[in-house]
Amino acid sequence: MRHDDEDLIRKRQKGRAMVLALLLGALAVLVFFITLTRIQQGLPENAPSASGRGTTPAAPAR
Amino acid sequence: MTPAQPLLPPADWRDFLALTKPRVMTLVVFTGLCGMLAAPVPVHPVIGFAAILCIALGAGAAGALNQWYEADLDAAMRRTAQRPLPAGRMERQSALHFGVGLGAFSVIFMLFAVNMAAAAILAASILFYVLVYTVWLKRRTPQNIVIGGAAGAFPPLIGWAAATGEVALLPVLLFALVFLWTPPHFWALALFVKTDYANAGVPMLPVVAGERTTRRQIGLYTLPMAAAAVAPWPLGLTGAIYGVTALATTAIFGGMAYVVATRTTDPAGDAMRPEKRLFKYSILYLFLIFGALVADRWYA
Repeated sequence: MRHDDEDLIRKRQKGRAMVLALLLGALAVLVFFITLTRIQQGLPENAPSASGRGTTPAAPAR
Repeated sequence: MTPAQPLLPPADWRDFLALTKPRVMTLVVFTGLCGMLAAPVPVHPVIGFAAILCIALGAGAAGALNQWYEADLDAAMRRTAQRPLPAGRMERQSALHFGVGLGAFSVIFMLFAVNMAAAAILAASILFYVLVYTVWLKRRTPQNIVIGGAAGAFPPLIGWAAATGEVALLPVLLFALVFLWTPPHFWALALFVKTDYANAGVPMLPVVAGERTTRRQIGLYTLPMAAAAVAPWPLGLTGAIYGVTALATTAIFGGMAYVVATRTTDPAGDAMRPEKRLFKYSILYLFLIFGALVADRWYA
């Protein structure tokens, strides 16, 4: 194999690895936000938030 | 034993991008997005983004598999000879693996991130484009574009299904509009690249049935297309913004199609100007009409 060919192969492999890494990173971020959205959509409106307080005030007990 | 093929260096990532036909993808993504935005149910931006991404990836997968199967045809046509496979920049097997992987990923991701209905329609659209249009029809019948046009008509349905989880009359009419728009759009193109198709042995209508029949068919298909475009307004599915835009833009389309349908090619060489004009306008037409649909839903 010629030196030029080897350089070209390395360059292309590096470019593909870089693009794939970026895409996988973006996919991980997207999956994270989809999971958050799904969790939010699955919760009832007056469910307690992470801080322990409800998002809407509960009706007073009689 | 056959002589070993010389090994190609690994394809550049830009060639994989080119396999997805990014220009075709633009229209697919736009009509899918409009289908989603026109739905009566608001979709969460993150889920909406995921749905559009899946539509784009699915369209890219279909494009890649189309190029994998048609590498020999592409090599014979000037317009497509520089694509990665006919130009010898990529192994055929790489294109096949890329297309299958991307298609499977887009459907599975749509299923988990969005919903079952959108994933099922996306899978159907990819399979339809690859198996029905590319493998079965394209080399066999001049009606390839008519039936194969259904593949490009799925995105508004997918977008709508992504938002609502079901299919309704309006997205079905949008499907019909794109389906009936495809023959005049592609036959206008086929009229001015007829030699390319003839050289490649693709039985496009102008090659098989001649120019006169093709022109008549362009005129004939424009009539039901116009009906499908305008129908949502009188049916009460959209408001006046869509209705007036659909009437005006469809009238212009009809006028251009009439010119193409009733003329004969000037043997002195008129560079097929009306056909090129109709082809270009048909792309703008779809953008305008789908844009009006969203404007109508959001601002009416």
